[in-house]
Amino acid sequence: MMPFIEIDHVDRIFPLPDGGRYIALKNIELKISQGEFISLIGHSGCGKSTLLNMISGLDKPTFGGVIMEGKEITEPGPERMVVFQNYSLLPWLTVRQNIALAVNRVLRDLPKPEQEKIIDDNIALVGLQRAAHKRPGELSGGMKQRVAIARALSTRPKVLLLDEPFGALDALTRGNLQERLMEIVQESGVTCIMVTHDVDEALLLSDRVVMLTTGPEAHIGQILEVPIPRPRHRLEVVNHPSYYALRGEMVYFLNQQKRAKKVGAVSQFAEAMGGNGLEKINLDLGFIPLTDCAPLVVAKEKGFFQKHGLEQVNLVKEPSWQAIADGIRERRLDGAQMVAGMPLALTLGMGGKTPLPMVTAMVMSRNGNAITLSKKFAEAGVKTLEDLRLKLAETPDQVSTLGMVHPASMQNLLLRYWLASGSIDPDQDINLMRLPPPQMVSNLEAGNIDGFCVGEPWNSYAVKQNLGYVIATDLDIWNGHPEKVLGMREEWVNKYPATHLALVKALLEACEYCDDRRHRQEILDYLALPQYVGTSTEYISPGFLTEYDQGNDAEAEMLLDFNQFYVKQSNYPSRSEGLWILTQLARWGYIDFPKNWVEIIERVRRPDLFGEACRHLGWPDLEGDHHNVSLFDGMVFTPNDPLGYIKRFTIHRDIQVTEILIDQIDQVNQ
Amino acid sequence: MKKVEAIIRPFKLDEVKIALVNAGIVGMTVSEVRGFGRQKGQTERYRGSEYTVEFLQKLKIEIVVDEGQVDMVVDKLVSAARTGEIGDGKIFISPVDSVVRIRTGEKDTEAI
Repeated sequence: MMPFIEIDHVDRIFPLPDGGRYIALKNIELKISQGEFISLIGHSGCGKSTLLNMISGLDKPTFGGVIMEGKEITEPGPERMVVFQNYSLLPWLTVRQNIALAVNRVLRDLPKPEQEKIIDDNIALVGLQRAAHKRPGELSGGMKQRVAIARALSTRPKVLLLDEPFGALDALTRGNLQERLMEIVQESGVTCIMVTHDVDEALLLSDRVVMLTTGPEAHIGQILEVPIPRPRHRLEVVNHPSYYALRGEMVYFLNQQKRAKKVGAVSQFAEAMGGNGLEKINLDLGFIPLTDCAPLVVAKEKGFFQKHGLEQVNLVKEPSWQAIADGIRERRLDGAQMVAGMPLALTLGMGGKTPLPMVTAMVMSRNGNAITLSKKFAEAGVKTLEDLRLKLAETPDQVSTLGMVHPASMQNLLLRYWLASGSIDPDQDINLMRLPPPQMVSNLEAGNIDGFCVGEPWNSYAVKQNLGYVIATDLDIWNGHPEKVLGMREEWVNKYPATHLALVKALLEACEYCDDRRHRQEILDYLALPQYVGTSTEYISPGFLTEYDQGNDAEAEMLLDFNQFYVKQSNYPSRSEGLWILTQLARWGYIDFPKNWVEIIERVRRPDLFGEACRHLGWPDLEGDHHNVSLFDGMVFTPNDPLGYIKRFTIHRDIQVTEILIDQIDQVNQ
Repeated sequence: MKKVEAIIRPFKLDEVKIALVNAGIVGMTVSEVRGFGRQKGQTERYRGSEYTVEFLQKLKIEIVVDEGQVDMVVDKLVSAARTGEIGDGKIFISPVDSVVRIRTGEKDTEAI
């Protein structure tokens, strides 16, 4: 069904006097149904009123649009009435005349007596019959606001837009007016969108509270549903069991944003330095020899680094993901290609380490992994997850071991997810061993492990050597999951903003190059070189260029999505996906779930830096964030309720929720 | 093989054409079409809330490509045809069973 009002990917960008641009709102997406009451909360200057103005038609979005009943809103109209904080009454007219002005203009086709009746009804609705002939100067603040509401309602609008309507009123008047407003809304069934700073007010009045992050590039951070039944009363809502939990969540959100604002002041600097050349042209970037290191190889070999002024980029081949993490920590590496969860894990200090704030401005690849099992399972007839469960249950005294590359890798998280969805507890029914990717096959051959989940070429290698077969690829688990990301220390990005931007641009262009299948043969030859993956193209090619052979009865088939580098907005560092990773790390007890997850995700996953690079390249940077994620088992992850998602899993470890303050620790370090 | 049909804004044709040619596309068919989408094709309003459905002038581009090129073509199309405002159009992708080149009788991939 078409929503009543749809705010469709709205950006609002203001030009600055110095020729720059200030991105106030970024990618706002919201669907509102008829009769709903929505509150917008957020810190001052985050763009709440700008958003309201765009719904009213007083302002226009730079990109995207607001659609009401299937029509784009391009100008103000009487079906959308605004109530401002400062009343905006005409001082030389009486209460009645102020309202009559609106009615006579908008409803001029109605006969006079009917117009009169509407005016009287609305005055009665806000209880101002006695003051009908007073001028605004003779009224109290609360009365003036009631006149403004009556005026807004008198034209029978479909939408009432309230911009901090009760901001200037004393507590008592405010309380009374809130109750009146609720009654009026209930009677007229009008849809309301209200901007407010007051969390109690938002809870009392709204069906949903939309919380905006602090600008620049403000977006929807979280949406809270308010399940309190109507009619509500000011004194009774506090008794509802969810009231304080919701209130706490809102206050907590605002506090997180306050901290984020202080950090944001530093990253503003980044944009200012943009055009002045690069700060550092010699970079050491870490990578692991895997097929999906292709963007780094291409950026170097095809001159994308050079093109963007990065003249001496050294690609450092590392033995394991742990070595990459250490290299970043020890500052031996400027940055690295990382498994998707690693920047978050480093930021949170996973494994008892000091938190090290990291930044991910782009995803470098999606998909490209598979789960390979030893041939002995094939001989036992294991073809599906269910077969595997039965096989494992047959021999409870024998624990099988599977290899994975790093706790924060998608290989680990997807393998665990896959096992658990088939009722195999990855910590109890099976043993997981951590091994670097290039050592997987030799360990499988030696019998140290019975299978593994890893990126290519190691699955195809095992298949071609007739050591194992692929029971599932990640296309079967989560097609399009983020796989490798660019990970840089936040402190580094703040110090070398222009260099970082150049690096992201070079890698984005390299990613685009990698995804053109006409280039794949050439890339294959580069990857096979000893300084990169260093194996025969025969093993790298399946999935990347040619048919993917699972090593079972099934015929090898072309998997066009198997290595995604650019298409389908692969490079967007989605916050929702980052949050999914946090839920899984917490699910398996690697981390305490950060109570301040909004703050953590916003710090690490940086669509704003991604967008900046895209704009420099003239690419569209738009992609909906804050979207649901669902994997092969159909369970839906909504970014508004991460803890609820973890708890819905049958198999999970004990979940601890802790606030993780990355900055305070950061300051102690310096 | 897949057919990619894109409905775009008429003034975007040149940009789209250049982007597709650069992506290695060797042929396309363009036609003038009229239609409406979610917007019901217009932004005029008469007195309050009375609306009519109007058709808008658009261009339709049809391209037949190998399966492996579809994502790339779609991405190029989106990049080139996008203005960010409502009414940028849509892309439809459908399977193609067979292609025959009339002059030579060549089939499928050779015929594209």
